[in-house]
Amino acid sequence: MNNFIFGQYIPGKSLIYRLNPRLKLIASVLLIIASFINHNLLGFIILLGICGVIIQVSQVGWIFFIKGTQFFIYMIFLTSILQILFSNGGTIYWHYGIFTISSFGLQIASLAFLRFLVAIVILTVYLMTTNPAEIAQTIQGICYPLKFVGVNLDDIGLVTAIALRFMPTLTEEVNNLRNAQKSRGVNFEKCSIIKRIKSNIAILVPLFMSVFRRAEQLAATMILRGYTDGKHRTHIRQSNWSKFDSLILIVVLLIFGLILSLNINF
Amino acid sequence: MEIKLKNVGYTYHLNSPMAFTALKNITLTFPAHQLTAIIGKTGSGKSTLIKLLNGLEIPTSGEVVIGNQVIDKYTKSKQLNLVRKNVGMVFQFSENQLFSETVLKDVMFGPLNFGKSEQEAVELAKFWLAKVGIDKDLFEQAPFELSGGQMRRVALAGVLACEPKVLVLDEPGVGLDYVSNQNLMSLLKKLQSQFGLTIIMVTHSMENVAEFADHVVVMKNGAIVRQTKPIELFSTDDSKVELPEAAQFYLKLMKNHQIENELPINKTELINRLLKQFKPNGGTHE
Ligand SMILES: Nc1ncnc2c1ncn2[C@@H]1O[C@H](COP(=O)(O)OP(=O)(O)OP(=O)(O)O)[C@@H](O)[C@H]1O
Ligand SMILES: [Mg+2]
Repeated sequence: MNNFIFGQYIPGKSLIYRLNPRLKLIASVLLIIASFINHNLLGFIILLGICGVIIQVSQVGWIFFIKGTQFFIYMIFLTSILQILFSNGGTIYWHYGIFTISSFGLQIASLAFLRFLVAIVILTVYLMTTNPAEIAQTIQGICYPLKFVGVNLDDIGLVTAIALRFMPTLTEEVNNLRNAQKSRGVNFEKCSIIKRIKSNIAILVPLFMSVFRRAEQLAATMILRGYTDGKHRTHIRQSNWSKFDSLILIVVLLIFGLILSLNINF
Repeated sequence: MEIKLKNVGYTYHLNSPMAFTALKNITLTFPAHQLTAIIGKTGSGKSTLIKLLNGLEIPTSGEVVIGNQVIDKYTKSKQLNLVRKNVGMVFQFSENQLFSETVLKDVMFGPLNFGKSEQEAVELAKFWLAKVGIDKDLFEQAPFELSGGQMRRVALAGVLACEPKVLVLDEPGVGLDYVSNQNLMSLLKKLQSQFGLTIIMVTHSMENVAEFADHVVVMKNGAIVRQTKPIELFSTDDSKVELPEAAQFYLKLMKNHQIENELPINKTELINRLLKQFKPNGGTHE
């Protein structure tokens, strides 16, 4: 029941874990961009196939993966349904009051659904298989150009690291609050929209209170342990780029090119 | 209402790399109208166990029998609402779950969810707030303006107002001062006798176990290692559990003095024993 796992690092040893974290981010971004520019059925078949391969290779387990992402998939599914019902154009198949099902709506909704599906799968695998410290370091590296407009890179790294560090804590907090309110008779699975919004307030209000409390405590303990901003910090891990990483990069670039060419109208 | 566990096992994140078996083959009865304490080291599975008692988690093997309802891995989530009505659950740091604009509304939340009318919910809320010792003046205040101890009472009232037959608490006294803890525990005792509540409580305080529990369950590494009465558990030193302070004190006395070797388990017993053994004239040697 409480298997909401988005954004959580799951230690493991499969191939994907051993890839260079920078490569993983670049590859993820490329694949997500590819899925967003794609309009083509074949393109989505290829991208979903790649998603399948990635999940399989990551060895996190299919059931676990589906359980962990089903909330997001359910959300984008709902959004797509709304999009189908409320957009209008092309051939109209069905019409009732303000609702219409049209070829235009179906097309837009299925595009959006597939794109977000690919994005969620790839992001989830990235977060599951990459150590938070490495993610923070990568983000810091990517933001390097911002240095010249006066942004402090160490701050960016630290903020990312803290945000990732608190993901599991917040997930746990959400689960605890859900449990507490379920015990007071809230039924999150089956009720009207109004009730559902109300039940979510019962979680969000205490959640925000606790986030603020934690932030305050964290700031205090950091100051007490001598943290000052503006000092340069070094990293405990150094990642290196292997030949295999280059190979993967080439493959991903090829896929990107393929999707791109599928979508160019000659 | 009695709760029975039959060969219950529970694994977190079943079928995944994170799979972790937190409970192993537990068979256990929580007798009706009694106060049972669950003790054990941190990580021994206490919180996991109590989440099975009102269907927040479903056992991955075996079955949980609550009154006459059976919960096993085939149970559908629709059937759990009745269980939740019967078994109230007060979580650790329950003050963090308050969210309504006023204290009264927060306590009404549960009864309304379980299908009571607005009017009935107000009555229940007022009744239980009074029972847990919250002043009428505080009813219309925002819960966040209260002290930690008061907020915890409000949270308790919020669960009691759902009129459960079984009350389950996870470390209710943690972080409270001595007097507040004592008050809370006697309140629970009173609820037990006045309303015939069955109470199940996770605690780290051996003093609370010795003074207030009728039964005690000792957990270790996800299994039950002992299941007995507090007197049996604490009156000899051979068990591997930590003793209440009264017993520890008496044990130290026994090293230097020729006194009865059955341990007193709470303060009252300790005082009586000392008075008996160390009479100013006569009695045992000085
Ligand atoms: N959501 C979860 N996912 C995975 N493992 C968990 C989860 N919750 C608890 N565990 C693991 O299950 C075991 C038992 O945890 P539990 O919270 O039941 O212990 P506890 O006896 O209540 O400890 P404490 O006295 O510290 O509260 C622990 O080893 C813990 O790491
Ligand atoms: Mg616990």
